[in-house]
Amino acid sequence: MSSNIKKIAIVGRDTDVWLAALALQRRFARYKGAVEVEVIELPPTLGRSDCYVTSPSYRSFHDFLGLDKDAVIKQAQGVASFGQRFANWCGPAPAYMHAYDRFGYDFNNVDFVQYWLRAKKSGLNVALENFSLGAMAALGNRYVVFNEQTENFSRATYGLNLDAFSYTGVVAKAALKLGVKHRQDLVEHVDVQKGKIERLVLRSGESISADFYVDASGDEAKLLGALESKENFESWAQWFPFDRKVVASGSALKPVPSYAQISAFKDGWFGLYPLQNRSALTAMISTAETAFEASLQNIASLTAMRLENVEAVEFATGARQRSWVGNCCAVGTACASLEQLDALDLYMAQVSILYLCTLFPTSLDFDEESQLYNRKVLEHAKSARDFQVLHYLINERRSDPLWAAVRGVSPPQDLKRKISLYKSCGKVSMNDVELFQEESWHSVFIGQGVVPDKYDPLVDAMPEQEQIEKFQKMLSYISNEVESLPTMQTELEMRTGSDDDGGSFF
Amino acid sequence: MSNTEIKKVVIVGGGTAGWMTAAGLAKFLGTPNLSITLVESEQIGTVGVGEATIPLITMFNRVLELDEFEFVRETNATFKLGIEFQNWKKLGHSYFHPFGALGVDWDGIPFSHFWLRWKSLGGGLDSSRFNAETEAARELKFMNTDNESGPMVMPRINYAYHFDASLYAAYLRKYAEKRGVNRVEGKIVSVDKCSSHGTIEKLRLDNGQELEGDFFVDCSGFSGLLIEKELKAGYEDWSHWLPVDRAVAVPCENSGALLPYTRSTARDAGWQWRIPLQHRIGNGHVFSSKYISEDEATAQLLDNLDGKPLADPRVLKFTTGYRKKGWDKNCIALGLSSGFLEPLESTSIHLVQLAISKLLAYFPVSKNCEHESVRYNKEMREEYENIKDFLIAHYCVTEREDTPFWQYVKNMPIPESLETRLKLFRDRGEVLVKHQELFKNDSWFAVLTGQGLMPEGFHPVAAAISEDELRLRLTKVRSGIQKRAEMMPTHDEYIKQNCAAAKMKM
Repeated sequence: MSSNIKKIAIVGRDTDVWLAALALQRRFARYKGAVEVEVIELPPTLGRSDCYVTSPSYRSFHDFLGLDKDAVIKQAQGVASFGQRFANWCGPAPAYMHAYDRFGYDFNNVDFVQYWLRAKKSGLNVALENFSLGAMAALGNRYVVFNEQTENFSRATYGLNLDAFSYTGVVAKAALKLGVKHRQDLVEHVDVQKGKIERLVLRSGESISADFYVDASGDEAKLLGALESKENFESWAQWFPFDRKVVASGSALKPVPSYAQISAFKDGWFGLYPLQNRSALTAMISTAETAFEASLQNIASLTAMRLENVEAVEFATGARQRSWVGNCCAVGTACASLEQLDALDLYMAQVSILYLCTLFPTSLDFDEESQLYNRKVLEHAKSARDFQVLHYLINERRSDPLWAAVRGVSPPQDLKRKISLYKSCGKVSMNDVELFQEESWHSVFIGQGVVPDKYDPLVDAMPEQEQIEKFQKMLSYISNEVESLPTMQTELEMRTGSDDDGGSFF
Repeated sequence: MSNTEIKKVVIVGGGTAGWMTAAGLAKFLGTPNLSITLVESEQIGTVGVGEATIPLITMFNRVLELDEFEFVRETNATFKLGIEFQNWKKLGHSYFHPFGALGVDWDGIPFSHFWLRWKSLGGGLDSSRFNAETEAARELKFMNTDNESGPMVMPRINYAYHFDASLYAAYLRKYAEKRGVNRVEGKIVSVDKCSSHGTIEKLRLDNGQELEGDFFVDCSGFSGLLIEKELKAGYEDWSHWLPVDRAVAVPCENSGALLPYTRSTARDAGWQWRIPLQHRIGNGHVFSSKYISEDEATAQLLDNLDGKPLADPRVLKFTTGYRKKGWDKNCIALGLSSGFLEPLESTSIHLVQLAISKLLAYFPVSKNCEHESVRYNKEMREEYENIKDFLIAHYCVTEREDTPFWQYVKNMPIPESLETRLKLFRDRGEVLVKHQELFKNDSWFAVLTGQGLMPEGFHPVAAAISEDELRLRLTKVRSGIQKRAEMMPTHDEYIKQNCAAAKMKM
């Protein structure tokens, strides 16, 4: 590399800082005369109850980072999650599964959902998710293993629930093993000269200079904050009615479920995520209507679980217009703060670190790279945000003031177009940075009751009787396949189980 | 049967063996053609304590066309999924020898080889997790799955019974008498033999009655009234391999749930059985009088009961070994008179049953039946020899050396046949059972690994599939077993719903 960058200083905390350190060290610092990476680790904020809930695509990031996927899952108490089941988001309507799989089979190159819409119109009362192998497998607490037939029919895949504290440990260990320099300290002062960071003065009295700075300090944006104006941070509070994040732990579920349950209630929602050694609970709530303690009790009784290690923090969603300013590039939560809804934890870390590695500057002039970085990272953040916001905007909890209010909020521009297109014809307008596929949008729209009245006219080319037969065949095929799948409990035991003293009966 | 000289059969002794024989002969040879007389004395007690069996007993009951639930009710029986061995490998350890298959055999070789390979690749789940009976036993569950319809996606449950042997004898007595068996009360005082052939001709009883017969079945127990005292068939002593020579037995009150298995707990100079019946628990301490006194052994037994004793302890004396000629002239020995293998693997009743089926197969047509008896004796000898090796393995494969008894059995010379088998097992996980052997691969595997002998290799066929395929196969088996265990009711519930015995007066 002909880079003029000789030294990178990464300032931050928790998982963001270690992911950045591991990625940069692995890519740029592993040969003689290469870049030197130094981590200044700020005091961690992760607690014993925190968990990360990631979407399926996040798993590929482990390849990029050179982490052994199975070992990560084992060490971070990980459990595979084939979907998320949303309960009570629409009043008395049944819960729906947002599984990571498509629906049915596209006949004559027309999306299956279009056929389902026609059938629905003529009285079909089978939910869309019943046509998804992934959703049914998740509901049956199975683990999807493909055979020759199912791999043509389904693309069911899974995200991960991880114990945040253990996971950070795994990543940090890998980074340190690769030779990342590391110190724990606080940044006392950021010395900025002509829009660039000149040096950092640390609490310990030392100062550090680098050619390039990475800000992985989360919401605090410790470095970037010294370079940006206040307007750089765009708040999304109008679309996210709940401003307090609560985490807690309950006992592990057995048999372990294949999905996470996300339940809405009067003052917010809570997700229950199975881990190997415990159940992680994350709630987003507001204290506007109900006192915090009362809300907490409400959650505890709804989960029927004894909750321990409860911690609560203020939580604000939003994004930086520019995450890369001068010689300082923010990664992870410092770029954008997203809720955990729809397994978007670590998504910003993944996106930003991948872009940073791709656009890593070859000289000390970063203009082009930073502009592209800023545009792309923001697009991803907004697109992910839109998917989350959709859940709120089309909720049907009309008698709860907080929920009712968010229904009236004007959607972000892009989402507004999506909603109106969907309502008119059941089609999803996809942009080029979508994390979720069409089927995910279908899950949420239809699951929350936005069922278009019209359907693709090409559907009518198939006689209704033929369609009914095809549907029935598909349903029994799926139910047979699901029945033959191993359970998630088994899969987990096979991966992680160990009987200490060979042959022990008890 | 007009061409036969054998018209009168006399059975001596009315314990379990006697009445099983009477029932079997009556059912298959019939009393119109064959007169069957059983002589027993109420003054002579039977040895029958709580009796544990192996699954082939269900076959015996089936061929007699007994109603299973009636049989269970009548004999206060419970169901048995296997035997738990406590403290056999070492103190504080416990393993299970289940009935039923370990996993699923593939590609012509036993599942154990595939498990061994998986283990060599880092798999952590114990082999017992791949056996349905063990999992059900762990959860105190039981269900008869013989009549399940549909494709066999889950393993069938193999089981036997624990029953009150004297009630079983009484039950079969009703059965036999209904079918024309003549019962005579009396004690034998002398025996008339043919002066030229030495065959038995007549029994004289204490009440003056005389019983003539063409063929005699000696079910007189350890004493071997006809086979030894009259015919001097000879006894082969195996006590250098199986040094236990006493048993002290005592029933006690039930406590807690009915265990669906027998428990065998190793003690300082022997072992203790625990056999759960519906109305009580049968207990016994089998020991070697060379290493512990009767008083001490009795005290140890009474100190280790799960409930209040219901009778005075009774001591039985025996010598482990085999009657050299179980069938001599016109007399066949069945049950304890034919040899004694300690009840460690519940083989006593099985050997009776086996002898009955062989007697039926070779039933003599003339008093001169040497060909039949030679063949019978050869086959039965093999059965005894094979079982003997299996029993010895429980003693010599162990980590225990904490008492003189265990020091002896761990280091004693063992039969060459067993020596070879243990070596093959250690090197490559092979048991190489002969076709007719009672205990097959899975039994040997469970006991040898349970006793602490883990094979170092496995069959090369198990290495021919990919690691992914291997893992998938094992996952499916484990999943099927979990599903099986999940759907089973508890043993208590199953008995309560189907076959609870009437409450008995103690």
